[in-house]
Amino acid sequence: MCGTCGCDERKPESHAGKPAYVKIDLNRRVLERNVNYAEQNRRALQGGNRICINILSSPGSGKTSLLEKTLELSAEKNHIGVIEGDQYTDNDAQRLKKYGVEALQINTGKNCHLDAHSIHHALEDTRLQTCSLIFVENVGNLICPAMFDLGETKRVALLSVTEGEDKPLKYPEVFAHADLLLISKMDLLPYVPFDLDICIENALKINSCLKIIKLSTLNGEGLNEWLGWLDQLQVPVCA
Amino acid sequence: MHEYALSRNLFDLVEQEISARQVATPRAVTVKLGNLLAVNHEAFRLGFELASHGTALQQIKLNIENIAGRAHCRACGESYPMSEWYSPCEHCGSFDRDVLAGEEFHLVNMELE
Repeated sequence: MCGTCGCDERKPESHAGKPAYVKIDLNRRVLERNVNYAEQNRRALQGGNRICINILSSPGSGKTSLLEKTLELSAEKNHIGVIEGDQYTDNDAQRLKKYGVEALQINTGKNCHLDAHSIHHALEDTRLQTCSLIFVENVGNLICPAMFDLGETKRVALLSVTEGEDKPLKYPEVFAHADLLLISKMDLLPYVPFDLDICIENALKINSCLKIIKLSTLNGEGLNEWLGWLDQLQVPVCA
Repeated sequence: MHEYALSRNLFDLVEQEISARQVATPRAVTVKLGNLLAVNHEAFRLGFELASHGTALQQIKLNIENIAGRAHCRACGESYPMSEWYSPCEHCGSFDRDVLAGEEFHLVNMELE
């Protein structure tokens, strides 16, 4: 290869009369590394008949509370694992371990999102090997995690009624790529100026295929529907 | 700011290409960036400057080619420009769509002296 510009010509004189620079077409995805890890994760999950749910929301929308309630209501827990993403602390993993499940904490440090590489290592962890349902609680952030495919089976967005009904319009990417939207803290609806119909309309403007469940972990609204949605994802293992 | 993580990915790709092709540092690289992605161009540029600062890659000019959003309407079958995620079909007003363009994020080429 020519050492000057990477072209296939080997003689310097062959450049006479050509432009002062040469363009080399690359056409590579900037997030190629993440895409590759995500594909590996997806294959590993499918191969092991495992389901992985990536949960995204702002900080404080109730992701950990939802997982606590989900674990509390699940009769069989030993097939459930959780990967917790936070910048610092293992507070959430500790909260969930109380329910008798494996909970791995990933501290992203200065990073504002989980990526497929960190999930790749977590899925290889022996503690999660026997889990057929794995929840990933992403870093609380409505912008950054949206671009990072983790190789998950389904993506769930959470939006609480205390946040404002225009969030889907303001932070569309999370909602555009979600399979399910959970509108959380429904018990607070009578006390906050939140227009539920407009919120749903906004979410559907971004993603018309979005399935929506309204729920409250405090009064139990919508929890059966949520558990039913999870159940229909879990394909029985072939004998 | 996820733009820094994104520009680290770009930096690594450019380094890989230089090393695999055994070429000199390019004078410029071009990135195609879809308008519907939540990536701030200036933050991405700053991230690339920070990532390449003090390395052989710091003189590289980063060209960003903005790709406009475009969708195919599932309701009326027409295609239309999608400047925002909440842009309805300009023909029938529906939001039921397939996104055709606007989510690209590619290292397109590099320019060598």
